[in-house]
Amino acid sequence: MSQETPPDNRPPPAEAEGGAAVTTAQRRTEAIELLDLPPELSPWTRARRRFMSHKLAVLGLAILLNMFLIAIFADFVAPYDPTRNHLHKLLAPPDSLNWLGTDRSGRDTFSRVVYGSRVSLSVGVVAVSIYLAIAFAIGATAGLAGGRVDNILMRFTDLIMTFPSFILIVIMAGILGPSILNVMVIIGIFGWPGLARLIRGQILVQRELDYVIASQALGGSLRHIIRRHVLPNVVGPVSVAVTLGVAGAILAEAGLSFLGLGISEPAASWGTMISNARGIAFIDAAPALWLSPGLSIVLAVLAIYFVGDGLRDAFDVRGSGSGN
Amino acid sequence: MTQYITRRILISIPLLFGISIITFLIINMAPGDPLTALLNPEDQLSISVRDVEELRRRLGLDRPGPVRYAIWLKEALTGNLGFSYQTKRPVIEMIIEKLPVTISLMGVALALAVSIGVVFGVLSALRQYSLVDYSLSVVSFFMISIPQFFFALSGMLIFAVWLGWLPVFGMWTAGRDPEVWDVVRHAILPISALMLQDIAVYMRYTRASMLDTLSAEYVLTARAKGLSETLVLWKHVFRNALVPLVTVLGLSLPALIGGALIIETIFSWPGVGSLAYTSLLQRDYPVQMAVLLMGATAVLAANLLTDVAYAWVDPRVRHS
Repeated sequence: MSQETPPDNRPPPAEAEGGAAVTTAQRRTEAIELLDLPPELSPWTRARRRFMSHKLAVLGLAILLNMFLIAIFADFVAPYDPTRNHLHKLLAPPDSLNWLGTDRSGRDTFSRVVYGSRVSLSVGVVAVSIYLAIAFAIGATAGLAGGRVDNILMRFTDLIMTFPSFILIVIMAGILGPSILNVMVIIGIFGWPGLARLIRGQILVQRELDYVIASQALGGSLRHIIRRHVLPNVVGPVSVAVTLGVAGAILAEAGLSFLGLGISEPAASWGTMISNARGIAFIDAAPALWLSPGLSIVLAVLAIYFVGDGLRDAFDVRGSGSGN
Repeated sequence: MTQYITRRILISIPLLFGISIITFLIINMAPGDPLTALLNPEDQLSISVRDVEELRRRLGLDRPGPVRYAIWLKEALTGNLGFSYQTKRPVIEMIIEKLPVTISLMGVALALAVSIGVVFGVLSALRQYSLVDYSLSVVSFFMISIPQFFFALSGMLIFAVWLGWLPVFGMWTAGRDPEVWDVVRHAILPISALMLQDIAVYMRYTRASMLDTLSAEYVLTARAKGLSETLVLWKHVFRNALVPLVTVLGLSLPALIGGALIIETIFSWPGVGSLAYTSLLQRDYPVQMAVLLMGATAVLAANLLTDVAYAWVDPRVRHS
């Protein structure tokens, strides 16, 4: 609501450019004002406003930003070193020093939860960056090249999609061994098929649109068309799919670490913490030990889904097939 | 229709080959020599290098990858998926005996998820933008955000440990003959955890599909004709809105298979999922290979069935 020019203090149109011909843009602004229509907004402003009016999305974004800050500044947020053993205080219940108690090795649970956000968020972001790159390469090539190339690439995509992804990820993790890098790469190299299909589909749709055909007819180069017309329109659906993908990657890492195949001790990962807490005694012995990382996962994933839903509204994306 | 089915089956055959190639490639990335897994550790000390080489040749392990793949594929097609490193039993036998548990677990979870999801999805759509719709939408966000294993553990803590209403794990009470009621009680927590995400998926999907149909012109026509709302809903809306759900059914399988692995492991259910988990811990590659191969084949078959079912209910599909 800030960029609108109120009708009273608009410059007199005719003299604006030293008495020269009135530009089309000016004439249009004038017409809009006379008709009392809402001002034309750029697609980005419109998207931003729609997003900001989605309350849950704004809440999600706030939670997420906080989590990123905590992850980045974990050294300052966490009261203790997450791997240091306080041997005089094993499996202690929450108190004023250890807000969420300590684990079997006397490590501070709260500090570990704080550092765990680093693992989860970085796995989410890196894994999805890897598969976004693969998906873009395959999807865009297929969509632009068409014909045989398209056919081969899409059959390959179908093929990867027939594998139950979690089983594939778990087996690969077992083969390559537990490490944060392996987890990122494995989730990354098997996550792309849904996104590749989406990008290809979007490109196929864009190719047939009148303004792209017009741009082609006017002699626009492929590069120009892609940058100027195709990419801005693909951004909406892809950003929704990518957001949901980050949530999926965080859940996959948690599951993997829970099974003991993801991030291994002493590094703090939320999934690993839950798995260890279960191994100690029974789940009711020290509920804070696994409830706190568990609720952190739920909060992070929920916040991301809210943001994704906001983006969906903002870009008016309907039913993006992002796979799982 | 027959032509459509034949065409779909023909498209699936190359995919089936692709599945076998990828499975073979992945398992061949595994570190370690299959021979060391095969030999008795005590013999490994006394056996000579020449004997090892001889054994390697006899087993065909010195042959190049493509040849080994061809041999493996030929055996796999006749139902021989090799022997477990751990139990030395035929892998196919081990899987088949565990399959009923997993299939019933997944089947019941899917059936319940669809029923619950459809009911709440319809409710949500009929009361669009109401408090009910809004709350259901928030609840569905929670359902897809909770990791299954965390939901399972929380359920265990609340309903099994604190309240004592349900058994903690196992498929039936140990030392007793399995009875229906006993198994049902043991199944409540695992099935709830397994179906949680699917409920949300079917709810969202049903809602969207219902809203699409409700705004269709033929519904407007039906109303304009003066049909009662009940008749409009049952005769025109539900039938058309629920048909596209068939396509989602096939897509549920990959997640269900992954879920079964985690859920069976947590609740110690003797299914393929826990078999797969054990094989991961023991690096029992023949079992892992079989699970991957059969999982992917099952997904392929489910996709095929879904397509055929959809073409059957919606003739427009098979003619396009």
